[in-house]
Amino acid sequence: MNSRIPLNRIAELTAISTNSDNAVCLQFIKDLFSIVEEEVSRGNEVAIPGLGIFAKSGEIDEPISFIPDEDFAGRINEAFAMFSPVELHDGVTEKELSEADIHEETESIIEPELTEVTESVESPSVFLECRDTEGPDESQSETATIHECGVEVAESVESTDLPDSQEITEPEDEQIPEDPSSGVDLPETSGEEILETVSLEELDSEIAAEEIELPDAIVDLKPEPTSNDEIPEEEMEYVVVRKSKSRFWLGLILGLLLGFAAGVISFLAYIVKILDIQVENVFPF
Amino acid sequence: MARTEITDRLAEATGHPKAEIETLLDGFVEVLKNCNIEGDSVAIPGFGTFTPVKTEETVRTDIESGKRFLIPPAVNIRFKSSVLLRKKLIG
Repeated sequence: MNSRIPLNRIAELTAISTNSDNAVCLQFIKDLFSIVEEEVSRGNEVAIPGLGIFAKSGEIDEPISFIPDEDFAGRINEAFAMFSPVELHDGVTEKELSEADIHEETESIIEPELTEVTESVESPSVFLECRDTEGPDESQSETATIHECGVEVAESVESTDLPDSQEITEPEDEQIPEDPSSGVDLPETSGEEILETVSLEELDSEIAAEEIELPDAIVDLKPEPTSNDEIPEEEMEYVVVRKSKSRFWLGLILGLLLGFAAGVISFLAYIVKILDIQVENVFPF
Repeated sequence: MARTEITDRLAEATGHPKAEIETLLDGFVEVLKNCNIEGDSVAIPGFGTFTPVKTEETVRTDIESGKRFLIPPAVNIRFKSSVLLRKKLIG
């Protein structure tokens, strides 16, 4: 596409299509257009069936005019054949036409984003149904809904008057709640999962058990244990991780102490050995 | 100049029978059209170049009625004669 086909290539393609010789086709093409040139220079029109009509135009820039055959013109313009001229109204300007084309392109890009935002803001209850179906009381209280996205979190927090400390973060982030006894705490979630939306009433029933005491540095957003319910596995895993870290440091310190002690002992032994040698030198008997 | 005249003159010039000339003519025209339809230009040395050209949509005004029409884009074949031919014809 967009390349210039030389005469030799045209002759070759013609020879292939007609089962003829390349040289014969090449000479044929040259003879054909020499005849056309001769007739046009005399002022005659030359019509090649399937190709078009050559005629003398009289213009200096282009002395030969070429009108393609109807079938040829139709096949060339096949991609745009379905379009037809449209009458414009008086108020429509060319500038508006060009701006309309740009506006249509941008609308097709922007529209999906707008629909997502509006749906989440207008129907929080729908969002609840999609995210968490543990209890029937989810949709009753708007104050219990915390959305997962940043925009949605801001809107829902404002509308439900939650304390500022109720920021939803991933478990890797360490966050100390400002008011753990506020009663509006939320359970922590794993780093991979998106934060879920649950009601406060359910959260109270799912609070961690008294068996495991979570350090303050853990992301909790949860109230103090008030029931003997089992601790979710996610918290157990997080506690195990914390304990293994403390063991690491303990082992490191012990190792250093042992190494230091061994070094001291060996140094003392070396000194004693030297002193013995010196004593022998001084007191050979 | 019609097809028969062209084939007669070609048969006389090349020495080949008319049937073969007609076959060659049809084959050549088809090859040239296919090249243009695919978007390639065909150059005939000493004569000119056949090039497919796309025209963008434009707004044209009918002088008589004063109505404006949005003309859709289109692809046309443009023939440009060679310098040698122009010199021969113009002089």
